[in-house]
Amino acid sequence: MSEKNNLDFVYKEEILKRSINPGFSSELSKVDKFISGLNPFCGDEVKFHFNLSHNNITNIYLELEGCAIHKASSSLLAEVILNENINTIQKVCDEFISFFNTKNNSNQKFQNHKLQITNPIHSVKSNQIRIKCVLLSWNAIYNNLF
Amino acid sequence: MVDFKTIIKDFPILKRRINENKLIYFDNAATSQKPKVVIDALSNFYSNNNANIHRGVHTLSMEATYLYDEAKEKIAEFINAPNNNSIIFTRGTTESLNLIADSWGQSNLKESDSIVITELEHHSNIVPWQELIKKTKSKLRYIPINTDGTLNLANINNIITKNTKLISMTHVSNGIGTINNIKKIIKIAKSVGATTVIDAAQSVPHMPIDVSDLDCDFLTFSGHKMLAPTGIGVLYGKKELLESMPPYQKGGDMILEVTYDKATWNEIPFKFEAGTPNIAGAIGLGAATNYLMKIGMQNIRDHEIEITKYAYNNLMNVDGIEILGPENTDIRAGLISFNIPNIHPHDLGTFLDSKGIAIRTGHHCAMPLIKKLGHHSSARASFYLYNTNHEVDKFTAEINNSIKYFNNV
Ligand SMILES: Cc1ncc(COP(=O)(O)O)c(C=O)c1O
Repeated sequence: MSEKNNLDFVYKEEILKRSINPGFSSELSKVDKFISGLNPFCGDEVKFHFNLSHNNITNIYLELEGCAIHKASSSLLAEVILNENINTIQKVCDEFISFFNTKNNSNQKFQNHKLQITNPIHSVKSNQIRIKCVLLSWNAIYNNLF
Repeated sequence: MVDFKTIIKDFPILKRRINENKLIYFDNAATSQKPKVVIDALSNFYSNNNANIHRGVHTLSMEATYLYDEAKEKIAEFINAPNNNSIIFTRGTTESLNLIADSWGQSNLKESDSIVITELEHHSNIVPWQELIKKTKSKLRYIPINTDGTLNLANINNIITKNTKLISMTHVSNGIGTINNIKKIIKIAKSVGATTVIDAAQSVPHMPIDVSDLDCDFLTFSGHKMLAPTGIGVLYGKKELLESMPPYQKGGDMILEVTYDKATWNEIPFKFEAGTPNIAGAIGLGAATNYLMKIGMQNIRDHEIEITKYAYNNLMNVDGIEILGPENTDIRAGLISFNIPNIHPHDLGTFLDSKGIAIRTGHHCAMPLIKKLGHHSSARASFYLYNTNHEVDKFTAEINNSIKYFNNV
């Protein structure tokens, strides 16, 4: 693989675009649930502000600090879990995190079809060191939402 | 004259290609590469002389002991220590600092006392003191920094007072490269009777250091940052101080006599080298020291000043760049910490790696410092004797390419 491809493999165009514009940037007038995550090794940081109604996430405000992969991944996560029930979210996060933590399942078919939008970030799996950038927000939600 | 262009040939790893590019290794503040003489010293030891030291009467044990002691002599000469027994082998700077905090700290500090460090320190010169003051109920005070990353000494007489029992400070900041005026601080420390510790992890590998001239009480450094293997480092201490301190770890080699009831401690340095030490590592460090002394530490410093000036001026032309730390190379070591707008250091690090360039990204184990300077992290290029201006050219060009890559989506 040429180095050009190698780089483009980690930074798919869609990931770069999303990192520059992650969305979910409107502050909420009241916050029902707040979850934060920090990677002390690199300073990647995330703050999720949620509105909840009957255990459904109805609105998200996202504060992000850090690298492109972390920002894009957090944005994808927010898109996946918006309007979902927290029980579903637990399963979805588990599925996504397991995918990154197991070797050799590159052509993953996810149970939850919403996870398909995360496809462009899957190739980061080839870069061991950056997997933690992908998973910071997913782990924060998985460990704290329930 | 040393021809720095040929030095690269001494380092086998620098022939490597990374992602189809020639390796440019700019992560020397994290760890240095190893010349063939060091690799050969390890291999020779294990192939020809391996045995435990100070124990057996057989030939191999005598040879191993001789080589180990010879390495120690070399290091004493290298930093101009008056006495070989003032050199204690440890695992590295971190262990050396912990040894002082445990052994000296717990037997010398009381509640009204304070320890002074600076806002520039590596975590390993912060956390041992934070833990020590919990146990002794003494206080930890910081010498603050100016925005250019130099120490602010305006209030120094209110920070270093008659209650100050210990001052521990880095000579060179690994985070931003500031060279501190340690001689001045050591003088102030002496005037109040405080003990002085110099974290020389980033200075001993790169410039001449003379502990007798500095007149510090302790000085610590790591072998792996000065061309030697990992897992070996040095604590230099004044003889009388080391003699007055209790042992750090207990076991073989550090005792004089053991009965089933009690033990008496061996002399220094053995008192502080419990168990079988890293014999091969020590011999490797001896070989590295020899190699550095042949080239000459002032020559290495001059070479790094040239590269650092060149890199600083090149980088200043990069759009929007913010360089941390002082500009003047009289007070900046061979490292440059910086941030590029809209590109996180990790992304820059991954981009440069794809071009074969290795830099460090993150907070460099100096989290409070990087925060204080208003950043979450930074990119850091750090140089050594085998680096060249030519490599800096490629580095700067690729930084400019990264700006296009990440911003033209
Ligand atoms: C200034 C400084 N102090 C202490 C250390 C810790 O050294 P080691 O990890 O070799 O124990 C380092 C290493 O990065 C350093 O740069």
